[in-house]
Amino acid sequence: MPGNINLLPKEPKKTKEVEKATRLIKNATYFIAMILTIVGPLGGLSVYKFTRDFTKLKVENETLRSSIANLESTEQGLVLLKDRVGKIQTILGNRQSIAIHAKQVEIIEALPDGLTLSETELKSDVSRVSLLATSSKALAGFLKDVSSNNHYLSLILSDLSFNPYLGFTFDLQVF
Amino acid sequence: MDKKNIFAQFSQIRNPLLVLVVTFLITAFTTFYMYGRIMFLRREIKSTQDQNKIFGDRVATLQIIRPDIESDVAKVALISLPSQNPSLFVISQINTFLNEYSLSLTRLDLNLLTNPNPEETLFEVSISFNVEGSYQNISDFITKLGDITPLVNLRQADISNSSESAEAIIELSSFWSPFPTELPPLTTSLAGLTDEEKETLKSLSNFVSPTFDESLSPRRYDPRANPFNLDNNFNPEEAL
Repeated sequence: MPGNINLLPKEPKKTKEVEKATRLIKNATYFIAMILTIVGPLGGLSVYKFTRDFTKLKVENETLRSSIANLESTEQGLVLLKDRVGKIQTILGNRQSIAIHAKQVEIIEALPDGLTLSETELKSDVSRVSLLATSSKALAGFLKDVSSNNHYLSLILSDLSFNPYLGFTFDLQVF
Repeated sequence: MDKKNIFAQFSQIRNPLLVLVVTFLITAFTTFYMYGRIMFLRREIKSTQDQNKIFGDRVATLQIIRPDIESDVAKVALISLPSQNPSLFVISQINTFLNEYSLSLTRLDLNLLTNPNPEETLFEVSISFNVEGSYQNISDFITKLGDITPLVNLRQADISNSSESAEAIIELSSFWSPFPTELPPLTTSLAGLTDEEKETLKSLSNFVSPTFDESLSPRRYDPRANPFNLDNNFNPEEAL
């Protein structure tokens, strides 16, 4: 009587260690798969959202670039104007001579009787008014008036001399 | 434990281990890819936002400044400091005011001044001249020079006064500067005019600019009739 012959290899019996390792691996797999299920959709959504935002910003960027291109002539004008105004401010800041000339004129226009103008000199570091006084009284009165005026940064009397035919000649350095 | 047994045990955990490795690799790849992509997009978004902010400010600035740029005040700035030697305009202005103050010109010299700083783009020309007339008129004339465009700087004003008349030696310098050739980079912010700059422009509008005759208009060119272009019907014998 023929007996039952099993030709299939017998599955080796799982030891405790193998079962433990298998369980550990499965748990780790479940954990990682859980992470994947969370990270995947979340990441996908984030990428979608950020891509959409970025596309919107790019469209806005292009619109703004186009607006800037349309305003290019204004931009050129602004750059040119700022360049001009900056340099004009430098030029105006260095213009003191006209103001000093005004101070010379102020002195000359206020000359009392007995005083006449001989000449004026105005350069970058020189501002001189040469005057002629017919009497010492006129000279003293003028000097008193002019010295009481505080419009001037500096007022120096120089080269005072007397000529019996002309009177007193003197220079005022005005700044 | 013999080798055969170890192999048998490993083969029992091989499939779960393979699944673990594959799952791990997919998760790692997905995570790193997503993280990298998100970081890249965030950087790009931040950079584009910053750029859009600069662009938006630039557009707003340009739209606000546009009327000022197109106004006559801006043109005065260009006349005050032209891009080329303004001697002719200055001499024209001098001539106008010499007539207005009844002064006579006895000498006129022009001298190009060397630029002390080669990097400086402000050039200077010296205009020296002598005038004769009354002291008052010469003085008013010199004062007026402070209010003309192109801008001038009074370098010298020596006036000799006598009982009959006065004579003055006057030296002015006038300026020019080539126009800027480059616009600022698009990604930098663009500032409008400051209050100080607006004030300067406002003060310039009170200056006297040279008058340009704009009444001339181009005329149609009518060629003169050619006297030798004889009419076909012309008969010299009849003419004789």
